[in-house]
Amino acid sequence: MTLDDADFRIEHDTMGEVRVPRGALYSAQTQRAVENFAISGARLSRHHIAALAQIKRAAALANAELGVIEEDLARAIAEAAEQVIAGDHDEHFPVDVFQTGSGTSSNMNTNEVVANIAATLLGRSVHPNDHVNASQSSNDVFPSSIHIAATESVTRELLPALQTLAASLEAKAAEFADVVKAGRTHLMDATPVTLGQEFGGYAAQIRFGIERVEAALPRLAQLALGGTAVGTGINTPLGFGARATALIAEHTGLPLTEAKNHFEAQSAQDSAVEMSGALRTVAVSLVKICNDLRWMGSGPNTGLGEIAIPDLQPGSSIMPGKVNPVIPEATAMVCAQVIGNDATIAFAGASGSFELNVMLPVIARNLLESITLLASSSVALATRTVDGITANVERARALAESSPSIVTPLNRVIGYEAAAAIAKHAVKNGTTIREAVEQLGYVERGEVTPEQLDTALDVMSMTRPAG
Amino acid sequence: MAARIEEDLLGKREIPGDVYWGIHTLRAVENFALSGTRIADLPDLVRGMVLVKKASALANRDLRTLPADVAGAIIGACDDMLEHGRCLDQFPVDVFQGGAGTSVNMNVNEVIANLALERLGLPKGRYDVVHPNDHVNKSQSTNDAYPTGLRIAIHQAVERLKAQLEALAATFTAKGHEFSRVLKMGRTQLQDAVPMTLGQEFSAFAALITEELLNLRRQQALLLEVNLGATAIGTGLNTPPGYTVRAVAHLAEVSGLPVVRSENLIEATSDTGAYVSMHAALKRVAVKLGKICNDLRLLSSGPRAGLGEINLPEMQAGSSIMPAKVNPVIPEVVNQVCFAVIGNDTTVTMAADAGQLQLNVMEPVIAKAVFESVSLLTRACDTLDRRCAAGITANEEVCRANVMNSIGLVTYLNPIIGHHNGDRVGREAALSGRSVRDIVLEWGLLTEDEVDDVLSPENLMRPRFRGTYYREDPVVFAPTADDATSDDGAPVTADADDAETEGGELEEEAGPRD
Repeated sequence: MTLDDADFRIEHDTMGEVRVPRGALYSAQTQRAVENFAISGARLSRHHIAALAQIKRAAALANAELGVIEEDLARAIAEAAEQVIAGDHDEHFPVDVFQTGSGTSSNMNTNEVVANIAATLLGRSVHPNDHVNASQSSNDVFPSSIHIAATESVTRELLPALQTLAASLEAKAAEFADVVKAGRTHLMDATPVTLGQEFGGYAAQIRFGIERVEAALPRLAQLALGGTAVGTGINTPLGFGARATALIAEHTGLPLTEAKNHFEAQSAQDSAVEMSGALRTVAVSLVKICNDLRWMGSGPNTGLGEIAIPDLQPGSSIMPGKVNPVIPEATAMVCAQVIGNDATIAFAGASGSFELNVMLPVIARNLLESITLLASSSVALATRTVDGITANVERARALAESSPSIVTPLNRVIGYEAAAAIAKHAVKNGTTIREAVEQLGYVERGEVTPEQLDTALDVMSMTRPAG
Repeated sequence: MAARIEEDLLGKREIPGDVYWGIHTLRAVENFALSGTRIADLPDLVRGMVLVKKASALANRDLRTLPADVAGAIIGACDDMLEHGRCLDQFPVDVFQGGAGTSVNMNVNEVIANLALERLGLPKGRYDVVHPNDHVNKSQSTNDAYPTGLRIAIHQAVERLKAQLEALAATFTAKGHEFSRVLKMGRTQLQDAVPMTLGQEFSAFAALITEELLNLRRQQALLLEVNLGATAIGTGLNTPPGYTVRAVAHLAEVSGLPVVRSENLIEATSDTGAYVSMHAALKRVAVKLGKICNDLRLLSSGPRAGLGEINLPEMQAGSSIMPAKVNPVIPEVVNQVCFAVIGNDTTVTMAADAGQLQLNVMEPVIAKAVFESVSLLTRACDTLDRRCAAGITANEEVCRANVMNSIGLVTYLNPIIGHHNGDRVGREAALSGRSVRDIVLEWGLLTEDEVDDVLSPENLMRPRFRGTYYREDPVVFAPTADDATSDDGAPVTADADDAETEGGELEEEAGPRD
């Protein structure tokens, strides 16, 4: 489709004339950025656009309080920003997420859209730089917007999703408290555990994951606002950063605070790197859990078959009746992506020079993607897999009782060497340990009483310390 | 259009009347609401899968395992998609999905079945006539159809990347010629080294990219080994005799690519090595582009308080607070793309490592990462080429002044005045701020003619060997390309050919050496 001249208006910036689509709420600088960055086809995420507009709203109100812009102008800017926060104008944010390293293009996109809406509301012109961007620079706005968007996504999506998953795992831990099964180390039979103990371990991994993410939040929640161009606060009235940040915290309900050190806040992205590290740890936990679920659910006839994973979709285009553990698989893939994203964030974080990190957009993209992916896959894992897992109680107990490791308590009665012979006999002949003891005549000869055998081979009692 | 009812082993579901996908796709969409990025967003993959379906239908028709009319309708449906772009929007499944690509394969089977039914004048869902599994997926499993389609798709996507890399290399070569007379300081460890030309620096960028083209071509060849005919685990279960050879031959024909059958289909069905090495090649491209962009940002730093040796084209206002600031936004965005690719490489490595027994179920995330990396690099190269490299200009005066004020010049005098005298001259120049030339003359180390000969721009750009030989009858060697390489490995001439063709002077003076 080609557009003719009638579909464009001519705008000016310091570099000359630019043709902007007629209905666009953005202006020249956004248009240049669209032309310059045809890279990924992906735009800023919804959370990120809203975060930028939150800053514009708060800045306008703070500027009015501090006497930098007029009251009515501030009210118009704030109202325009509210519309953007609500998601009414997302189509007017066309800049690619891969863009200038400071995010200036998206900051100016926000300034232009808010200025144009505010001008209509106010009935007089509003300048994107002089008014909407007053007391700010992209260099404090954009890092702040990443921190707001990430704090919001973590608080409102990821942490609740992890809570859901932890609760599902804990419910299963209780449900499976009496399901005894073979423990395994090195993928080899070990002494018994309960399925409930295993799920309790998974739940604890997720609970620690929640703690790790929460521990990183206070630093992620610090905003660079007030530092402007290089952290010195040039062109900003005293107290602007603190006031604007307080207004954002109040409006979003998020625990945001002003940066303790504005030079650190703009020149480094260590807090984003730290949060990504916490996300990577959560991903590593999820992979471990999903691998265990896939192993225990393997079968139905030639695998371990200790649990049944809910059937969600036919598994094969050629093998009828095959059902696969698709959600644990998808979750493991999400985790591979999160771990890859973390590598990107680490490289980008390491690439700051002097007063600004100029790899901010890719940090934003990967951090927000990791948060969303972990949140959505945690919910899917909880609701579409964990909640519906059932235990194959008989199978689990039979495997536990066949495990040669359960001879261990017999050491006390007949000695280590005899116990080892029993274990070997059981493995060789495919019997349970009890059967092996009986076949080898230990009971007949009176070396072990049936009562001693009952006590020594009670697999359930082996799942907790004696006494 | 009225909704239709479809059934699978889990039960019945209602499918909207106007969609070409069916119940399997619906379940996959519900199960995998993860990233929001859909298979429809990877048109190369859809196309690769459809090519496989067409080749398979042709083979099944040859072998009479599909009725001619059903095979014809399936082949026609594939052509509708390949040639007329039909139904390319009918792939709503998330790129993150469990099941080793089964949902992609079934999505493709369902869309082709319903398109084929349409060609036969029948309503969607009449799977008794054309069935997604029994007909479209005939003689196939996801485990051979999906990796085969994926390999073709990656191969095609990489073709576009290579074209952009070639264009970028050509631009750097052109800049190499344009800047062949611009004398500047070379730097090692961010410290002044010895002079070179800006043309040499840009020619090196071109050479570096050309190496990547060769590497990508090598990796592409590995992708053309396919496991079509392996079905579920490589044993070829449910394929008629002669199917594999025919299906692969048809695939070569319909794709126009020299695809060959894997030697060992069991190995090929679980192996993801070709993806690992292809993505490693993409990471190599990213690392090289990252280096170039870092250099461009360093060389253009300023305008007043930086190196300022080159100017990048001004693309947009750089700051919302600092008027008239213009930033190197294009190299910055390319650097970010490179980081994303480096991260994806970790993802691919992990996923490939997670293969178990007869299959690697992590292929979907490998596909997602590879396509994303290829697409990002392709557009980043194009952007770097047209919006930055092509418009770069040199600040000849700054470059030259850096050389003339540099202490690194004393290195040229080493063979004549000795390293120790060089140290003394260098230290005096650093302390006093005076030029090397003045100090050498004042201390009587060389005559004015000698100094001016050694420090002439011509000699600085193409240094003539001034050392002594320790033999009276040295062996004479013709100059070779190796002679034109400095300690740092950078070519000393802008173009090795130049050295030999126009360099009569060079040949004469290159002299004997041992």
